[in-house]
Amino acid sequence: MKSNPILLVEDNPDDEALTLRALKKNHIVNEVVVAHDGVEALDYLFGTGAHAGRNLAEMPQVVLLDLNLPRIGGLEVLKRVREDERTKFLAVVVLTSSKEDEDLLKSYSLGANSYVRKPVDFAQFTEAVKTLGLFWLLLNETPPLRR
Amino acid sequence: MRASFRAKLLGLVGIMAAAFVAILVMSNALSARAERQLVFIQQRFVPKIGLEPELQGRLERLGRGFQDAVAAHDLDALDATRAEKDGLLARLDAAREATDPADAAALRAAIDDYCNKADGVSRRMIAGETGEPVLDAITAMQASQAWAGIVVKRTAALDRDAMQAAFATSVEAEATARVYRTWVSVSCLGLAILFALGVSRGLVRSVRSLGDGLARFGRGDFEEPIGVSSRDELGELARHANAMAASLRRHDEERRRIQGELEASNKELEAFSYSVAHDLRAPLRGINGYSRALVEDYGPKLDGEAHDYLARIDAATQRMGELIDALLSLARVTRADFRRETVNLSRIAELVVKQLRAGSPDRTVDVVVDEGVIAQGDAPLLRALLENLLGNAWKFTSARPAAHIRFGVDRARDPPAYFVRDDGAGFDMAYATKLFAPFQRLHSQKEFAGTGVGLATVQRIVHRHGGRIWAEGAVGEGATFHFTLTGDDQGAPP
Repeated sequence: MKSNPILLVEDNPDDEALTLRALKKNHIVNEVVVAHDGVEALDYLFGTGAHAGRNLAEMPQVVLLDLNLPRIGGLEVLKRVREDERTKFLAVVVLTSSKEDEDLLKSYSLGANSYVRKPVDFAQFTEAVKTLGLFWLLLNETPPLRR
Repeated sequence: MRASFRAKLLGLVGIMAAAFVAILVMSNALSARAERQLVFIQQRFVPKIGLEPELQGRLERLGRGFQDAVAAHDLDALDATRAEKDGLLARLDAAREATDPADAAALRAAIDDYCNKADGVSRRMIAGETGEPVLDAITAMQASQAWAGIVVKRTAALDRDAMQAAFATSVEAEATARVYRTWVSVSCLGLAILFALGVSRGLVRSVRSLGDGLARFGRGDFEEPIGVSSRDELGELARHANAMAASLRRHDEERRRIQGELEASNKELEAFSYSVAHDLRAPLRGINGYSRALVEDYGPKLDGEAHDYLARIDAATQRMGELIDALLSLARVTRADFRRETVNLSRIAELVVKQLRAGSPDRTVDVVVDEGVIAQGDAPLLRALLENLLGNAWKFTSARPAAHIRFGVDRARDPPAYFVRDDGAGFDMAYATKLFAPFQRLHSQKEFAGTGVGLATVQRIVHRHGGRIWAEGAVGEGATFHFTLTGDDQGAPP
């Protein structure tokens, strides 16, 4: 299993705790970095603000991105990630409550790798996180980092 | 003052009438002059025609009468010459209008003088008188006769030059009258033509301008009013059209404003839906997640009742999640784009049935889908409609060991009514109107699961097509849902 961290961008503490629990239940032991809004997420990814001086060679194995976030929204984060040379191949999974066609279309057209809807049922949610972990942490090969 | 077309036409007619009256008066005057000349000729010249020879003849006969009486020595015959003289004077009197009164008087005097002299001479000769005195008397008589002849000639002479001049004057007057008539007629006609051309040109210009303006209004361009400012009926029409355009423009602006408000409220609705989708589900997920976490982490410490409660929390949150999703799908049907096209309902129905069979492969359901059922409508919405109706039929026949479902169209109706019929649980017709209300259910969750928005969704889809939907059924005998899909493209609910 790839050992790079997972970046979880989630503002709801309940969802954060449940996601972390689901990851733990599925024996995913990667470090999980939590950003509570779009600004924090971008700071971590580009080594700015609170994360100034971070080693940018270590990029997350996968970003679990909520769409409805304070300050900078999920779609805007996705847009900036794809625009930047350093992060444009980053695996970004949109993980959100919304099933609106509009959000799905926007996410994919901005370059989301996949779009997963958070189910109300916790069992289904755990199953979804397990599948996500399996694919993005175990099976998926990330492109080599460009220097 | 307003010069309407009516007034203009009346003016034209008036001018023409005045011109004709003028022609009439002038030509009448000239004709009267010509007539007067003719009357003059009739009075002055015609009675004189043949008058002179007749008077001379009578004068000669008078002379012969005297001679005959002398020759016969007959005094009675001498008296008879008086009658001859009276005849001569009567003839002169008959032509008195044509003769100069002075000449006529002179002629009378000359004839009287001659007759007196001739009578005297005749009597003296009959009495046998001879000699110098008689011869002198005879000479005087002969001189008087010659004088009378001269005066006859002067009195009765026909002045041909004067007569011809009068004729010429008459003919000239008539000719002038004709020329006047001709010229005034021609110029009057020309004037009328020019006037008519002017009026019709103005008319054509106004009508064209009016037509162009109305065409612009028709295209929804109300910026410029119609520039017909004439004071006639067309000008009035243009003012009415401009007023109409102004009113339409106000309505158009009002409509735009309302449309803007509608769009704004639609946006709000979308934002609301989004918030429902996102924000309401998150806490629900929390409740569900932590009740599960309790079971997983503290399961052994909880008794059976606690487990039952937690299971109920789990079920209730899942149900609420389904209801939220159903509500959102109902909202989506209203907001979705609408595009009318030709849709093969038979094919869609077959695909839906295939999916239903795949969902419950162990069921025995005889589904008949009539072939070639074509409709005009929005394909994704019609698919959602058939998914709901056929899904319902599938669900409510689940208690039957061998169920029957049919999809078809009743072409005898106008507009054609499409239908989905099943022999499932059916419903009580008393509740037929409640069927289509959101979250209204006629069966318990235990009997048949569902959210109660399926038929509400179906009804909205039908209404967006401008059609209508109705249901027939009986408890335990199945149900039939009829729907039509015609109406205007806007799909506004009737």
